[in-house]
Amino acid sequence: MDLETGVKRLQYAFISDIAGVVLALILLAFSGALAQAPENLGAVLGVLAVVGVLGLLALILAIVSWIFRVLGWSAICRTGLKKFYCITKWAVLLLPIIAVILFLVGMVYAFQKILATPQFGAPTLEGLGPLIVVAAAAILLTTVASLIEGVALLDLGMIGVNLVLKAGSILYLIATVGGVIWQAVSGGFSLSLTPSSMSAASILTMVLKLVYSGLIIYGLRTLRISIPEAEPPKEVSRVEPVA
Amino acid sequence: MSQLPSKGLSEKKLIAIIAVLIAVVLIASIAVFLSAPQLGEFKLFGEEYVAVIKVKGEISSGSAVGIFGTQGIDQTIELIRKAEKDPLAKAVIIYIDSPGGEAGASEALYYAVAELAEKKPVVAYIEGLGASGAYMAALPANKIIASNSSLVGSIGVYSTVIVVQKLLEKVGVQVYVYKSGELKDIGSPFRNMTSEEARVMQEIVDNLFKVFKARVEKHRGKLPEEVFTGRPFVASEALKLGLIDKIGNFQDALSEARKLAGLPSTAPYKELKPEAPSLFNIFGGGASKALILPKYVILTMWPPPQTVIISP
Repeated sequence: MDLETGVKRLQYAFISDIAGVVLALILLAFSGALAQAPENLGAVLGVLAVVGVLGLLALILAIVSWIFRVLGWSAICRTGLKKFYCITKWAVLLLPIIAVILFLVGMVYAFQKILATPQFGAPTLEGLGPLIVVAAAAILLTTVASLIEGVALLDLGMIGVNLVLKAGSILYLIATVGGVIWQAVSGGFSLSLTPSSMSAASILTMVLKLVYSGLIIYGLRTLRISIPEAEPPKEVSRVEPVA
Repeated sequence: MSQLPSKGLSEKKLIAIIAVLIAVVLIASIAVFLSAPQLGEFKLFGEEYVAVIKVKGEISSGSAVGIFGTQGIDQTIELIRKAEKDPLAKAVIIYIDSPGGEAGASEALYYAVAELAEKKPVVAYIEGLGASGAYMAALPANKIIASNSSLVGSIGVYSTVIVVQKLLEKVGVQVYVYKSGELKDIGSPFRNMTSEEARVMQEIVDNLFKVFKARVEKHRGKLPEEVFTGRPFVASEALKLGLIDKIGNFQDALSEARKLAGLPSTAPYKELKPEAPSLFNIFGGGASKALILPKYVILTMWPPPQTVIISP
């Protein structure tokens, strides 16, 4: 039953991801509306409020998705199928936490630096080199967690001989590797990238996420249906009658 | 366990796949990140170098583009700040070939160089012209080096007022000016100057000159009065009078900068250049600032040097 429970929770995690992507697309549309700077202050505040609420919802969905992931991989770990699934559980649990802590520490450092430096005009990037390293480390940690999860999903697809899950997890891995490289490109070359190319890249990333999440959800569903007859029966300790 | 359709990949293979993927991500990200042009502003790794910033043509305020031989000071100051912030730029050469320019712009450049010189070794290298406002900008440098054929000095201030009153009368144009005070339209091109206005204009020029002279004496010590007549000097004379520290070429300036920064003799130099102006800048507001004439108070060499050179 643990395998079925785990797979089900992973399904919920990816469903939350899809909801998050839909929210992000709506957010992007609202940000576009904000960029056009309507003259009416009320309208600006209205758009800002919607953006704020949607942002908060997206954050909640991301946390929900992470909780389902951790619970899902914990359940799969308990089946004792492979040690790797336990590694996945710990990676999915700990790496994002470390990344968030690192990022928060970096932000506090940056704020202190900005507040401590007299500013004449817009704040500059002076002395924020360590923050960039911390941010890059945080991104890499979450990427490593995603890579481990992607490979674990691929393995689940192989175990269940599930082509859709295999395709979804491969796409997931490609999107993760491509995503982090894109982060590096947009971080380093942001001066030469136009806002439209940034938006196009964001939309492409979201569409890719929708596709692989959909494939993974479907793959996990078919895997879950086939589990009752495939899951190994748990060994029951037998007590020998004592004469 | 035996009822599952397949065993999937072995633990070792799974770990190996993860390791390969992480390596790919790391190598690709680092390669992309380090080759990004934006990193020039806050590079964390790399070779230490001498930054070279050129000050060429007439110095003007704003961000004018160089199509009329003028240099918008905003861009130059931005480059100076960039060099100041870049931890890999260990020394800076201010490469000057300029007759000077507007008093305000020259002063802004002077302060930017002075601020830079407080943090990093600065060498001013003059090739061609290092006159008036441009010389003022060179003053805070740790060393001033000029090439043999350079003209240095022209320490002074002048102001030009062009009166077109008679021309306007000839074409039948009359100008009426309503002013709150007698001197409010001082320097107006539409009428002759009064003796009081001439006195005030001279006073402004004299006061600005005092500031200029004080700056020269602050950085170069007490100099002969000849230096303050407003004349330019060839490099050898400028050296004798104490306006410069050395006569040399760009390589000498580079060696001096390396020496001051404690860099090896093989340390490279990199010219920091302003971003190329867009068509919008050229046809929009950018270039127009360079065309606002006349400037009332100018720290530049007069007459322009090309008319000074007499063919044999």
